[in-house]
Amino acid sequence: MSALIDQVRDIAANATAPDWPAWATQLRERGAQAFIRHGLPNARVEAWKYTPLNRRPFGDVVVVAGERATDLPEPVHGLGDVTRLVFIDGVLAGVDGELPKGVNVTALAEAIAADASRNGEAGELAEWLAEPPTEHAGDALSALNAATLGAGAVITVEPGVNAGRIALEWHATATGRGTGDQPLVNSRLCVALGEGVRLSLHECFATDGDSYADHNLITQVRLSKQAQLTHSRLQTMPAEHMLIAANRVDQDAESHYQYDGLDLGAGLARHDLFTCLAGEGARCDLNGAYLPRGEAHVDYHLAVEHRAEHCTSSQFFRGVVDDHAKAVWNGRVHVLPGADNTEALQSNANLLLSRDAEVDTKPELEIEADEVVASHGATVGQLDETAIFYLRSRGLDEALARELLIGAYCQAAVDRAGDEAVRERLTTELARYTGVGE
Amino acid sequence: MLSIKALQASVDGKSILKGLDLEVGAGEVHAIMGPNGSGKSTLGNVLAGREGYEVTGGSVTYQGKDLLELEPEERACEGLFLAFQYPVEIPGVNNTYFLRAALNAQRKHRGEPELDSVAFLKLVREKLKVLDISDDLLHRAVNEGFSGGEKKRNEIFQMAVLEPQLAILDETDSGLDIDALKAVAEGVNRLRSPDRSIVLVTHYQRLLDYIEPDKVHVLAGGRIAASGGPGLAKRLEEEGYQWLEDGGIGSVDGEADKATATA
Ligand SMILES: Nc1ncnc2c1ncn2[C@@H]1O[C@H](COP(=O)(O)OP(=O)(O)OP(=O)(O)O)[C@@H](O)[C@H]1O
Ligand SMILES: [Mg+2]
Repeated sequence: MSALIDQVRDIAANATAPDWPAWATQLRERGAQAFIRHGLPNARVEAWKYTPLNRRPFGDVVVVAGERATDLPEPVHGLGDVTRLVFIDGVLAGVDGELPKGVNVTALAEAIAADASRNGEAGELAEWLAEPPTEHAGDALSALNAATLGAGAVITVEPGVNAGRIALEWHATATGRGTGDQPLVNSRLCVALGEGVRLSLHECFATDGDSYADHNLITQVRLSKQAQLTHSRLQTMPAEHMLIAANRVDQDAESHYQYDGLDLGAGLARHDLFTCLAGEGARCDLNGAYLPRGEAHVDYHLAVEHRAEHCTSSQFFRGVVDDHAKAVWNGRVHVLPGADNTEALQSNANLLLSRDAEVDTKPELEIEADEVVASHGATVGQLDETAIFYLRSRGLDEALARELLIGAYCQAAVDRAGDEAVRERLTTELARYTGVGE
Repeated sequence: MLSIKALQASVDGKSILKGLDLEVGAGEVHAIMGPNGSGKSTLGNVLAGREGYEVTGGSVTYQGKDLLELEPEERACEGLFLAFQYPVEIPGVNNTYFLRAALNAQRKHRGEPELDSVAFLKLVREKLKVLDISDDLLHRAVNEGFSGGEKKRNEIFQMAVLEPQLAILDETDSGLDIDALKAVAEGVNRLRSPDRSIVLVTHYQRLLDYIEPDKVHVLAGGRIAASGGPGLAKRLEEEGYQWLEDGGIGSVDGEADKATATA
C-alpha cells in the first residue's frame, strides 16, 4: 500500500504537463495530497468497511500519454453494428464508427489542454472535474483517480439529438495475466446531454486474451431538461481483476437516468452510484444483478438524493451469491426538505447458495419532505426446492434446474434494461454464465 | 408396468403410507379415490421421487427397475410423469424453453437426437390444437399467474408433449370447467395405448365419465382399502367413504366387477 502512495507522490511531483492549465495541475496535486494523507480506506472508513481492498496489493499505476492507437482491438460489445468508443488502459484510443451529428467525443487530456487556451482560467470543465463523484467528499479512490487525472473522455450531445446507442469498451495492454500485481488504470468519463437528448451508453470490458488491469473509474453525468440516458454496464472481468467504479449523475427537470448493471465476474467489483435529482419531475431507475462465485466480492453503494419536487427513483437489484463469495448492497435514498411528492422504491433480493456465501443488504431511507411515497424491501433467501423438484420431475437434471432458477431470478433485473438490444445482450451473457445458453 | 408392494412412507416423521399394494399393468387406466388427507398425493410424490418423502418400507418396481433407486429426473427420463395437484409457479422460466429442455433431456437419455426450436415448435403446435390451449400460455413463465384451470391444462399439455409411459394425474380434474375437463380427458385418451399406463387420482366420477378406467381403488388410512371396477367410483360418489369404514365389503356392480375391501 505504501508503494501505491509512493507512486502517487511521484506522479504528483511530475504533474506539470507543459500544455496543461494550472487548475488541472492543482486538481492532480489536491488528489495526490488527499490520497497520500489517508492512503487506501481501511475498515474504519464506513463507506469502505465491507470492501476488501486489502486482499492483494494494487500494482503499478498506469500513466499513459494520450496518444491514439492506430489499430483498435476487436469489438467486444456484442451489439452488432454500433459505434464504439475504445479505451485502452483508460485512455480514449479511438472512435470506431460514425458518431451521430451533435455527438462530440474528446479525449479528456485534449479537453483539458483545450481549456488552457482560455488563459488558464478555470472554466466549466474545471468545475465539473472538481466535483466529488461520490456521496462522500474526500473518498480515497476518487482522490487516487484525481491524482492521475488525464485519461478518459468528455462526451457531449447537443440539445434535441437522438444519439441512439453507443458502446464503450475498456481494454488493457498489459500482458502476462496472473504473473504478478495487476497494473491499475484510472480513468474518467464526463457525459453531458443537452435538453431532450436520448442516448444509450453500453459499457463493457475486454476479457479475452491475456491482457489485464484493475480499473478505478469515475463517470460524471449531467442531464439537462428532459434528457434521457440509459447507461448499462456489463462486468465480465476475470476473477483476478478489480473494478472500482464511481458514478455521479446530476439531473435537471424531467430528465431520466437509467442504470442497468450485470456483474458476472471480477474478484472485486465496487459500484458507487450517486444520483442527484435536482430538477422537478426527474426520474432515475437503478437496476442490476450480480452473481459472485468463488471468492468474488460485489459491492453496490447507491445514493439517490431527491432535491426537487415530483421526482421518482427506483432501485431494483437481484443477487445470487455462491461458494465463498460475498455481496454488499447499500441502497440509500435521501429526500431533502422541499422535495415533496417524491416517490422512491427500493428492492434488493438475494439468494444465498452456499453456507460460506454472505450477503449484506441495507436499504436506507431518510425523508425530510412531505407527501412521500416510499417502499423498501430487502430479502435473503434460498432456491425454491419445490420449483427444483418440479423441474426435475420433467427430466431436467438438478444442476440445470438450479441454474435455470438462478438465471430466472436475476433475469427479473435484466428484464428491466431500458435498451432492448442491451437487454438481449445481458440476457445472453446471463444465460451463458449460468450455463443455460441455447 | 408398475408394481407397488407393502409401501410405507412418512413425511416429517409422520407415517402416511402404511403398506400400500398396487399393480398397474401396461395399457391400463387406474383411478385412485379416497378421503382428503389419506395419502394420495403422498403416493404420487413418493413415486416421482420428491425429497422429504421418506420410504420406510416396501418396494416399487417400474418396468422391471427399482424405481426408488432413481433420481427424480431419471424417473422422468424413464417415462414417469406426475401431473401435480398444485402445479408450481416458476417466475422467469419460460414455459416453452422449459418444456423443450425437458423433452430434449428425455430424448438424450433415450439416445434420440435433440429437437431444434423449429421442430419443437411444430410438435407444440400440434399438441396445442388437440388440447385447445391458447398459445399465449407458451410465452409466459411456467404457471406464473396462470388461473387454476390453466395450470391444470398446462400439466396436460406437458404430458402430451413428453408422452410418458406412466402418467400419474393428481386431481388434474379439480377446479376445471366443462370444456377444460373435456380437454384433459381428450389429452389422457389420446395418450392411452397398449404400452402406456395411467393413474388418475380424483375425487369425482365426472372425469371417469370421459375416461373409462379399468380399475378403481380407494386409498384410505395409507392403504388401498378397496378395489373394483368403474362401478366402485359411482358407488363412492353416491355414498361417500363411510360405508368402507363401516366395513362394507362387497360386489358393486356385478360378477366381473368386484369391489374388495382389504383392511
Ligand atoms: N410436508 C408435510 N408435513 C406434514 N404432514 C404432511 C406433509 N405433507 C403431507 N402431510 C400429511 O400427510 C397426509 C396425506 O397428505 P396427502 O397430500 O397425501 O393427502 P391426499 O390424499 O392427497 O389429500 P387431498 O385429497 O386433500 O389432496 C395429510 O394428513 C397431510 O397433512
Ligand atoms: Mg392430494
